Amino acid sequence: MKQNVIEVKNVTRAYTTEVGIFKKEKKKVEALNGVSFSVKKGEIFGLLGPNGAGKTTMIKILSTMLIPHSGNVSILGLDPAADHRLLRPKINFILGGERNLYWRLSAYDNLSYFADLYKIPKSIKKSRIEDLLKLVGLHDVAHQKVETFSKGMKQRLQIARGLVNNPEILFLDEPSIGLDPVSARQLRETLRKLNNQGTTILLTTHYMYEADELCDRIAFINKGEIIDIDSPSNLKKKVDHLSIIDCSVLGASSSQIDSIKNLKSIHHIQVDRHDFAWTLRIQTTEPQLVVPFIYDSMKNSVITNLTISNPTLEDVYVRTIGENAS
Amino acid sequence: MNLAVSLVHTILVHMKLSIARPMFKFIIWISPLFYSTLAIFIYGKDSPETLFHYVVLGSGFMALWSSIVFSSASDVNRERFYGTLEIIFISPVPFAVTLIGKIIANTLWGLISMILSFVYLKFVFQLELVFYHPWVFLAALLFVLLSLAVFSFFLALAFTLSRQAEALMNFIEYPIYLICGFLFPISYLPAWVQGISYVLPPTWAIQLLRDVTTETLSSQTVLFSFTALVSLTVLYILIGVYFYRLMDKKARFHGKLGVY
Repeated sequence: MKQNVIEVKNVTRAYTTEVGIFKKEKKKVEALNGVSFSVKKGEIFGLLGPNGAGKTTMIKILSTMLIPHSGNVSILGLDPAADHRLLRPKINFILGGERNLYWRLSAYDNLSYFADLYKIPKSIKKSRIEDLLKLVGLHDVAHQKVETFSKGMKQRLQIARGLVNNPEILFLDEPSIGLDPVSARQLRETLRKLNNQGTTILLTTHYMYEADELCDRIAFINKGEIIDIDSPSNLKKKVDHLSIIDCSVLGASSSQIDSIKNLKSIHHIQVDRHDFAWTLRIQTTEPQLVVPFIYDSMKNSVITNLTISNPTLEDVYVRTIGENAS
Repeated sequence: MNLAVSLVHTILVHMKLSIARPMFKFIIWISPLFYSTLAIFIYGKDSPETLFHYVVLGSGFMALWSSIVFSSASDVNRERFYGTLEIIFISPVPFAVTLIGKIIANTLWGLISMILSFVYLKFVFQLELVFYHPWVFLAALLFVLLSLAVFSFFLALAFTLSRQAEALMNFIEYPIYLICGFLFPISYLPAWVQGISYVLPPTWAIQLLRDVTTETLSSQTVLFSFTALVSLTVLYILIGVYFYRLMDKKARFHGKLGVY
């Protein structure tokens, strides 16, 4: 039985903002509302939720950047609020996007500076930087300024920066945001490699495929509360009685789409519209009833595509978060 | 030992980063020439001592102050813009050490700019640079740099804590030249303005350098300026420490470190 390296119990955190120009009023926003979960050593744990769900606040608390208003947090047996000096050398965090680096310095100089900020001894600093640059595939451009890098290269350099202290736990906040599919795959491979070497990883992401492929366990978070925690396969089992119908329609009217929405055998429907084109993603237990109904109700429109498939993690997410929202 | 390495590396990295900015390049390499030229046109026919006090030291100090205003004072906000502020804040090296490293880096650039101003006046305008008591001048200059670094630390934190204060950054460059008497004695100013001058370390810093470069060095006047500068330096250290704690609180309690 692996030990828990992260334990979060009943954590709350609120932000106070001022609204109004002349008559300012204080407004309290609950970012975390009694969050509890634990992460085992060597696990890849995903925090998934919509924007404003509290994911980044949680990561900031875990990485010693923010103090919770109540509840208990323990990382490697240390309290991140009180023992931050002892904890910081053992952890690191990576934010998504292309900032968080000194663009006017080279990749090597960036890593060298951050290595010093993490008090890495001179005897191992050079070899570690070279190893990290090889790991993220930037060895050939080590002495090139970061400002000349592509977004993917900057993101990979950020990964190297986050590993400069060989952390026991790595926190990643939307690490693949804005990356092209090839760079995103490279990132996933790097994270898997790290995890195989024993690094515990906690990440937040909006990409369900990424979470499904990488994470040992996933927590769905919404409005500052954990809604569900389980392995991706167990989460998917919760909806494996459903079939997913993906349907693209051209020239349908709003009333035609509404008639499908009102069908009782539909558990959940996601509708996207681009000019005359509609895309429907339907969760149902009775595809044999829904498919003929779609064809019947779309007589004057063109159905360009219709497929029936098994549910993915995205369907679990939509269902769980959607139910929570309603 | 590791802290010292981090401090030195911070100084080197931030010297590189600062001078990579076109505006800072202009402040360090070009503006001292303008200041010196302006000062020599004002005082061109005065005595060598006045020329030294108000042209050489005055324009040198203007260069030093510009470097402080456009670097140290806004460095924390610049890190925020780069997105690196949160990263350096949670690194094991205390944030204060990183901040001090940045300030030393910018003060060194300011010193280079000041020396450039001296060299320009010496070779272009054939101004005589007479240091009657070179060792006393050197000791005073070192203390002046330390005092200005402390003042920069205070400014950097004040600008970080308050968005309103940050808006004043571009606004305080020229008033400080005047209020602190870089180009003329502060006795020319109205009494109520002199009150402000006396609580600003640059006023006593330049006064101390003028006192130690007077031919008839008076230990009493030097001691007076020195004591005033020491007292203000200690005061700004205390305010700086208080502001540092406030900033830490703002960051970790209010979660506003990365917010503009």
